[in-house]
Amino acid sequence: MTMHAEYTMLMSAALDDEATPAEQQHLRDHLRTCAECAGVWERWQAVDRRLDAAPLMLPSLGFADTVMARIAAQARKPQRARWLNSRLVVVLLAAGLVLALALTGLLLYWGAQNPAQVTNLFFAALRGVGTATWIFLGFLRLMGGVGAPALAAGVGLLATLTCVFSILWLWVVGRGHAMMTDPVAVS
Amino acid sequence: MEDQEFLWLEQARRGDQAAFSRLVGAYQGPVYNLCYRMLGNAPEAEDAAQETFLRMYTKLHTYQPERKLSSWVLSIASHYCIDRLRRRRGQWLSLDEEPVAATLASPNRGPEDLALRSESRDEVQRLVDMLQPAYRVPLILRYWHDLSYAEIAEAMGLTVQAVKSRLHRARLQVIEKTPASSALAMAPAGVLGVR
Repeated sequence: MTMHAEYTMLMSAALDDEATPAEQQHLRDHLRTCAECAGVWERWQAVDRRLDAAPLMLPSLGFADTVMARIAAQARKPQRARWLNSRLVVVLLAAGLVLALALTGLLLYWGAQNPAQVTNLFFAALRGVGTATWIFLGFLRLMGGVGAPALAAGVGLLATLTCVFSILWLWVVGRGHAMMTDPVAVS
Repeated sequence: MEDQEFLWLEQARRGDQAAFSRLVGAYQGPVYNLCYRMLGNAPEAEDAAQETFLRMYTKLHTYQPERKLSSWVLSIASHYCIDRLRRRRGQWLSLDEEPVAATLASPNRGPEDLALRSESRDEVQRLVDMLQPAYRVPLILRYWHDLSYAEIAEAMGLTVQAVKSRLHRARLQVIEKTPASSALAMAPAGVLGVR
C-alpha cells in the first residue's frame, strides 16, 4: 500500500475533481496495470458515493427565533450588569469620600488638642488598612478571582468600612482620653 | 443572492436585528449541518449552531468584504466545533441516544427503507466521528457543502496543498476504519472510471 501512496493522493484529488487532466491520465494508466490499486480505487469510489449521498441535516423549526432571542438576552445582560456595577461603585466611593472628609475634619480638630496621639492613630490606621486589604485579597483568591467591577466595588467597600471603624475608634479613644484628663467635662 | 446578503450584513452592522435574522435564516442550514457532522448529535449541534451565530453577531465589524461570506460563517462554526471537541476529552455521546432519525422521517417511506437509510446514515456519521477534528472539517466542507480546495483553505486558514493533504489523510482514515464487507465499501459494478 505504501508503494502506491502517490496514487491514493491522485485518487483523492480525482474524487474532488481537483486532479489535472495529466494526473487523471496518469492514474488511469496505473489502474489498468495494478490490480491492487484498482481494488483500492473501487473502495474509495464506493465510500465517496456514500458520503455524497449522506443528507444535509436541518435545524429545528424556530431556530432563527431562538438565536435572535439569545442575542437580545445577551445584549440586555451586560447592560444591566454594567449599570449595577457602576452605580454600586459610585455609591461606595462617594460614601468613602464623605467619610474620609469627616475623618480628616475630626482628626484636624482633635489633633490640634492631642498632637502626640495623632501620630499613634495614623500608624494604627495604616496597620488596620493593611490587615483588611490582606484579608480581602486572601478572600478573593479563595473565591477564584473576580472581575474588575467587583474588585473596584470591593475596594470601595473596604475604604468605607475602614473609615467607619477609624471614626468609631477615634471617637472611643478620644472620649477615653478626655475622661482621663477631664472626667467632669465628659459626663 | 450574495449582494442581498451583503446588504443584510451592512444593515446588521448598523444594528438592524431584522437584517441579521435574515442572515441567520440564509445560513442556518449549512451552519447546523456542519455542527451536526462535526459533533455527531442533534442537541449539541443546535447549541453550537446558535453559538456560531452569536459569535458572528459580535464579530460583524471584523468581517472583511473581500472574503466570501459563507466561508467566514463556516469558519466561525468549524473553529467553535473544534474547540468544543477538544473540551469533550473523550466524552463521546452515543448516536443511538439521539433522535436524528425522527427529523428525517417521511410518511412516504416504508419502515425497511427507513431502517436501511438510518443504518447507512449512522454508519457515515460514525466514520466521521472517528476522524480527528482537523481532518473532519475539510471532509465535511467537501462533501456536505461542496466547497473547492481553495474555499476550504479560506474557511480553515490553510494552504490549498494542506487541504489536499488533509482530505487525502481523512479518506485514508475512513477507508482504514471501513471493513471491506461493509455496505459503505461496496461499489456498484461499472463505476471504476476516473472522472
